[in-house]
Amino acid sequence: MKLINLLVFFSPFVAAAIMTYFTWARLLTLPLAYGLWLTMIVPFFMFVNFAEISLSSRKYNALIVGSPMKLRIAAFITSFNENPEIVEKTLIAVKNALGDMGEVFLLDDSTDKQIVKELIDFCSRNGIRYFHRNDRKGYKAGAINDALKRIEGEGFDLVAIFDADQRPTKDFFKQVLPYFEDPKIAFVQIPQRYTELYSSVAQGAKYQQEPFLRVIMKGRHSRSAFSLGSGTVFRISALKEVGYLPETSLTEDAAVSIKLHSKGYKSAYADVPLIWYGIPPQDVNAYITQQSRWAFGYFSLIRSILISNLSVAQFIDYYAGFLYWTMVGPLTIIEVASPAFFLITRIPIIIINPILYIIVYLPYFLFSLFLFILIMRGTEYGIKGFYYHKTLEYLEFAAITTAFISWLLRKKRPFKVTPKGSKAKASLKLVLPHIAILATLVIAFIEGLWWLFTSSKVSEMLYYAIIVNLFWDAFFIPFFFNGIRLALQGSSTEGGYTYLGANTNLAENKKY
Amino acid sequence: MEAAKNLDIEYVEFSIMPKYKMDRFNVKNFDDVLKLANKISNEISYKALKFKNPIVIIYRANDICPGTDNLFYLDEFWDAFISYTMKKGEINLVLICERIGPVCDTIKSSVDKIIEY
Repeated sequence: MKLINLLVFFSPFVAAAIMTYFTWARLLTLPLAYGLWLTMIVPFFMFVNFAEISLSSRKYNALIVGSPMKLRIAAFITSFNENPEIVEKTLIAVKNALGDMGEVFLLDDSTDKQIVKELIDFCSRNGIRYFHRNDRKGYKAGAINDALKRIEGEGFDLVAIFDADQRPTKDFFKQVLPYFEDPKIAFVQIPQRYTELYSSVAQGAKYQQEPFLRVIMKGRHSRSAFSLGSGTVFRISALKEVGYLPETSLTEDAAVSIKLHSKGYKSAYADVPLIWYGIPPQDVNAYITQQSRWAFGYFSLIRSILISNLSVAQFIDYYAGFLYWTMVGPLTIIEVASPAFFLITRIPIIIINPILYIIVYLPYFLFSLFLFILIMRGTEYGIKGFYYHKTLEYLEFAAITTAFISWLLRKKRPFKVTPKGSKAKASLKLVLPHIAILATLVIAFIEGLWWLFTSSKVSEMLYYAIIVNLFWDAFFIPFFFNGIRLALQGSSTEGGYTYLGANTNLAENKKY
Repeated sequence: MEAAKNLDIEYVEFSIMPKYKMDRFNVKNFDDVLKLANKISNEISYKALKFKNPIVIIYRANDICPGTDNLFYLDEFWDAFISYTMKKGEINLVLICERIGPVCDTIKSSVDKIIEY
């Protein structure tokens, strides 16, 4: 544990406490005041980190010339009761990409006997080694660790990990291998790709990934780029040195990355479209299952991050991930509830000069928004991407908050595989809290307008305070409205498409 | 490679990676051509200058130029690539070109010696 990292960890919480001390209005709303300051300070912390990372990402270049490396690769595809058709096509794609550089393994923990039988048959017909476990100990990480121990002594240098629905192009390993010329490189990550966009949720999930894959991971290249669990190629000796993948974590990919970075290893991120097929979550249920797992896993990582030997820059990068999930989860409730609370109850939460707030905070907010969109220029993101990205974040706040509470209460959560398929199902139950919040926001907006225009005793300060809160109340309405719309929508025939990027290997697609 | 080995010449093999192959086909304007030439020249000379008096043999030259038949782009690419590489240090450049499309003709105007067979 480094003292400087500890100071960085507490800094947003201390800053929020100081601001609360100077601005709190009533004892009743004191916790809300503290939370409200956190909703302003945490994004500022994340924004500074994002701005610094985006500057680093501008210097980023993927390798274009490399030495051919004669390293032997074990390519693992992990599966748990997945549709055999999807798994088989992935196995073939990995086999094509691997050529004579190693062997392909299917690590299948399926409990469905029909699936097991079909996959065993397929593997034996195609020269793929099939490993099956009955106990699912350690879930995906356990399956990988067990397989690594089984193949020990067979001369493999690297292990490549693919999810059952992420298919590499033929050039995948040609791009990856030369990075390993540097003995300090522990792993190379190729970005995951969502191509099967059959619903608006799937498109939103793709947009949500864009800032992360096109800016954040590039900026973290060689410093703190972490494994995404699929499309990662690890140096086996480095994995062995840190005791393989942590089996108690739901985000074993990030957990092992922290361990490797703490040991002084480096990681490389090659932002090259070498995955030509990937299935995103198609509906809200699948999306929330995936995001809750990631959030819970990341919350659980904070202890490892704190006690690690990471440099300050690496620590901040990982810590920003923790703050992101805190912001998307519990802090979103405070962020959304505060203006509505004030407009409906007329009880102030914090007392600051609203004109000062308008002069200082609003320009910062608009500037950060503008800068964010500017940084994302040249990608597929745009205003629409931002709208869908934020919509999904507001859609998942309840699930992420539940994950946060589970983490605080030290509850254990099983590893739930993200449901896959091309059909999106509507789900009213999941958005009942959002419908209630949308109704509250609308009522609060009407109530606020009524207050503004009918009360004769409104002072100038209060007048501006009402306007600020009306602005924030109205700001959330389109996102919640769109979120509810997405959740109630099934498969979209109008918007759904299979995405083939400019560099997608069309010839390979035709095979299937 | 075998010949170099037999003559006791220190050599190292490099290959062009998929990322560059993709970039070659994404050239849209003159600026992209210069960026491409600068990028590949930087990488090659950085690796070559780790040796004393290096000779860089590029086989095939057809695989590093922009993936286009636009003669203006190809001319500019070779001109920029060769001058960038020469400016970086004492590097002897050998370009082996296969007679496919207009690539070989566009190299001719930028090199000192031409051997045809």
